[in-house]
Amino acid sequence: MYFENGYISPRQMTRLIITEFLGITLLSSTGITAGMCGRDGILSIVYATVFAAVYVWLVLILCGKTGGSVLEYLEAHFGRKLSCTVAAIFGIKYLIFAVGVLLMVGTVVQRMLLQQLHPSIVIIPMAILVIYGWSLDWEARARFAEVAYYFVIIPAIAVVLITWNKCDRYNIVPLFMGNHGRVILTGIWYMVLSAPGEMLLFSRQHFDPDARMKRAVWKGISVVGIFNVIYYILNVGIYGIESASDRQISSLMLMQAVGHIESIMSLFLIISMYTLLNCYGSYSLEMIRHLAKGKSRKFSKIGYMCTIGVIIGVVSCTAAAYGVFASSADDASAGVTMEEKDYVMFMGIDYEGGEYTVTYGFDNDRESVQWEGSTLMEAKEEYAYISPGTVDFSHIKAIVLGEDLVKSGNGLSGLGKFLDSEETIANDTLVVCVEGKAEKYDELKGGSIKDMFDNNLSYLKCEAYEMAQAVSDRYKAVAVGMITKKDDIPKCTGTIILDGKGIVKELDVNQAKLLMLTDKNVAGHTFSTSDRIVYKIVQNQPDIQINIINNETIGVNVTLRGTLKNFSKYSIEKDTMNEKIELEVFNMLTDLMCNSGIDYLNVYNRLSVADKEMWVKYSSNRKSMCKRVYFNVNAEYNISE
Amino acid sequence: MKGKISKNLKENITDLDEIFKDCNDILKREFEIGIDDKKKACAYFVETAVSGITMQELLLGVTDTTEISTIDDAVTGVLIGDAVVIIDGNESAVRVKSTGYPGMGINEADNEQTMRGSKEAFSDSEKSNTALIRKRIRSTDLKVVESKIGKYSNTNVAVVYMKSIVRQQVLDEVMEKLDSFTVDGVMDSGIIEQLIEQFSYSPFPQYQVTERPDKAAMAVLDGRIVIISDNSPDALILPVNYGSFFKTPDDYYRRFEISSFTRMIRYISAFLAMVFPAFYLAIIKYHTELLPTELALAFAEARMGVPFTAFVEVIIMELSFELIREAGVRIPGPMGSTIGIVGGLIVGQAAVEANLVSPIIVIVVAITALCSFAIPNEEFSSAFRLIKYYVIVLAAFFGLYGCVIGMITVLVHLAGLNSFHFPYLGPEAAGEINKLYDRKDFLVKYPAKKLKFRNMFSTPDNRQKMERK
Repeated sequence: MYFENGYISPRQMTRLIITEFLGITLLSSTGITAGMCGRDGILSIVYATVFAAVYVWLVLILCGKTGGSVLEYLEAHFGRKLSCTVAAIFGIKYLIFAVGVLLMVGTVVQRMLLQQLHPSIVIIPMAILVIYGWSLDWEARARFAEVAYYFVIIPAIAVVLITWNKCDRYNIVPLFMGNHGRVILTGIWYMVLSAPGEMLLFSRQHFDPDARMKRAVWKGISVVGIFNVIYYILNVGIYGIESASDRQISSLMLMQAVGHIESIMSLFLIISMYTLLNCYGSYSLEMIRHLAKGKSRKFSKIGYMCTIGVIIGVVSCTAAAYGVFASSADDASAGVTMEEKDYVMFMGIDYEGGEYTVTYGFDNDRESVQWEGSTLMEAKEEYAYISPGTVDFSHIKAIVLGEDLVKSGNGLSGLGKFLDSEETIANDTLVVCVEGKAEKYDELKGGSIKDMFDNNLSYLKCEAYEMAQAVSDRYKAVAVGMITKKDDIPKCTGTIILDGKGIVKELDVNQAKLLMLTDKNVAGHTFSTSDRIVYKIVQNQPDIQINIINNETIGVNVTLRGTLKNFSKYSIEKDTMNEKIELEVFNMLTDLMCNSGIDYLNVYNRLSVADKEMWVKYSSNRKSMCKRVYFNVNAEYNISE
Repeated sequence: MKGKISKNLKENITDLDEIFKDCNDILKREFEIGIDDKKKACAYFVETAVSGITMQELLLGVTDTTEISTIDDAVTGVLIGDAVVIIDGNESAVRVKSTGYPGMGINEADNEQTMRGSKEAFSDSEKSNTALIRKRIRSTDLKVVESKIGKYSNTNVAVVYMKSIVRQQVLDEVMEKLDSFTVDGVMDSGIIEQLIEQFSYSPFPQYQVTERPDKAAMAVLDGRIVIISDNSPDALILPVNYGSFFKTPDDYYRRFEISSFTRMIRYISAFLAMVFPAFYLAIIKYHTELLPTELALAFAEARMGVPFTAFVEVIIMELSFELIREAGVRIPGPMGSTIGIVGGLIVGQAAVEANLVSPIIVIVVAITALCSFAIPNEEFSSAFRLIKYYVIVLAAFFGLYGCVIGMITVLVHLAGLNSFHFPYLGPEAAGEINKLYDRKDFLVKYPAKKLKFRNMFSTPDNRQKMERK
């Protein structure tokens, strides 16, 4: 008949490739390539895409020669033994891949959506659905992909659009700093791991390998490659190369950067992985059918499907659970409905004598409660002993740190572990520091503090993921807004720079703005130089370049461009104004870096792999290391009157 | 059955009396015709099917008549509703066409109302219905092939199509399927639909049902086939795809902007009709972080004191609504609308005030119901009504992940479904068959001037439907 001819069209082929491979590659590419090649991992992805396109070109040429499935061709020309051997090898390969993808589904769902369910429970409905999907013929699979394509590509684009402005381009460059041979080998390895190419050989009877089909396949591969590059840029740009390469599923972290809607965004990954599972399963079925050809006439397609489904399901569940149907019992909030939850709006944390004092503020009608514990998790668990409700941090407005806590390295370390482990706290939750005890600020309920920073002081915002990174990474520091109470009214009086060991520097508001000229969007705010000349920042575009001088000194060139408006009663020459700003910023950066040992501009992470080795040589003595950094500040602002 | 009609009137009467024994609705009238050479004649007819006017006109010689020569044809003619007159001395009888059995006549389309366009609906007479289509397509290219289905009912079934536009393979297959079964009787086109459809276990219909002659005529002009059955005011249109069920006739009578907008509303409604209660359940049970804080607190407060879990609450309310809907259909006349008020307002309001359910679930169920009513085709929306429960159960156990599993299941099912070999997910799936042209009348509708070609259902040799002079 005109439709049911077993053939798929070029458009269907493109969408099959994109739908099947987008999810799995986005999940794994950044972690693998960044882990192996550092920042040059982006080049590995580009190489992998190019190699995949070449590989597929070769495969399609072979398809033209075989005229049908390669197994039939091998059997006809070289005998059944060879074709069965090939079928067995690739059948096992696709079965293993199917198990791997199913495990990945369990992990993704468990991390992003259902933290309270064990991955083995999560896998079961997907496995059943996949078996149902295997009942489709080739054309139906292609039709499914044609429509599912939109449910994969649109959220993928949405994640990019939402997270783009959080990307720090200085985390991505410089490139070409590592071993290029390793970059190319990583590209080849990643291509082999994820290549869809050879599967075309086993499905040759379902398409015509003409020019249109070749273009369609390359288009599919190119789209997947481009998305991988973009996601790499975003992952590394937002989280830095260290964090991106540490995490195996870095795109999940990326989606957490969009806030709580990451759970919706992650659904597109599930759809993509389902399509891929369907693909691997279908090919495995083809291999088994070929192996069983002529031996078991009664073994129907349903028999094949059920056999494979059972194998994959059991292996996956066993691998995930060390026993099927085990469920996670460490979180009692499995399926707790919202009326049974106590939503924490404000969390104040103080630290004294090795003990945390945690203040939970709820919505307006409820009084705050306070707990003490040696860890923050212990304080959370103690809540369960007095309240019928389950504490929930998913709507928390602000985490307020007391003065004692931010001065204590141990206290901050415990805070970092808590933020890492508590999945319900969104990555973009505001973290502020207060003068004195955090418990004294509980009447704010967090909402007004959050609004203040969101609406007026966005450049002073510190988010939970930044705090967690600064506490765990000894080369990182973070600026946290400081709030004090004047006549019972909370006021932001500046910022503190802290790292894993505690406060390193306190800056007032003006100093904070001067410092943030180097990296933040401070447009719309005013600052004054030491001689009381007040400027409004109309536009600010900082640029930072790093170079190694004489193999011993790290030169950091900070260029400040933009437009300022003079608000003081004095008029001033542009050059004079720029010189003043250069001097003040230079003094501040040098003071932070050399005197306080604070790598505020994240110079370490901007270095190449080789240069980092030089840095690490001096890491035991930070002061001597910092003395090897030399700042060169150039201000090129225009003044508008 | 007996053989040829005899010249002897008495023999013929004897044979027919035997055949029509105990058929008291079939009358026999003996009379004489002619002025000088009077001959005896006898007429057999169904009392209510043949009016006195028809008999008078017969005598005047102005009726529509056919000559028949066998007893079988005579019996068939009487059963169909015509009158049969046997004349002494003749080897043939005369079959007189009548208006047929009593029917409802042409009414307004109650189940497929439109803002603009004809308000006529099909009646339960196959003749009237084919005539309504003929009224709109005055061309000899419009073919109406009649046949009889039903061993005892001998129901007239007409297959209507445009000869130069229809795909011959589809037409042949339809004819083959109509001939492929024997059944006692066909009371409605729904029985034909179920007997010739390919995927009997799918909740999704593989035929479009319409009571509107304009919709049927437009379908025929698109290269599709319409099956009209006697005693049924619903015509079957085939083949179909997913997009067919979201189109209404007034999409083509109104401006393209509003048509596109309302069509998008229908697509969104179909999606919500399937997943909205499940989404609600998933979010309040597993993903409260997705809600704005004020809404989350309001929901939590609204659910305080409700004795049932959210899942039980959703199921109770959904089933209650189904009960109200079913009761509203069965209850006669004026009381049918009253039940909506009683059920919806009083019972729902009382349930909320008694704290049996939260007010939010009443809103969720109401929105879901409105969404299902927004789908133009009732049979198609019924599929979503059923699938909704499957997705609710998945959401209860697996949250949003369960909702996605449910949606993928539906998509997989639809991907494997086809209607006379046309993919059900068309025109988005396999759209290249018609060079993706069908997308101009899918999610949105392009202006009429841009719709120059017919869709994929029509024969590839005759796709152009409009051109400028």
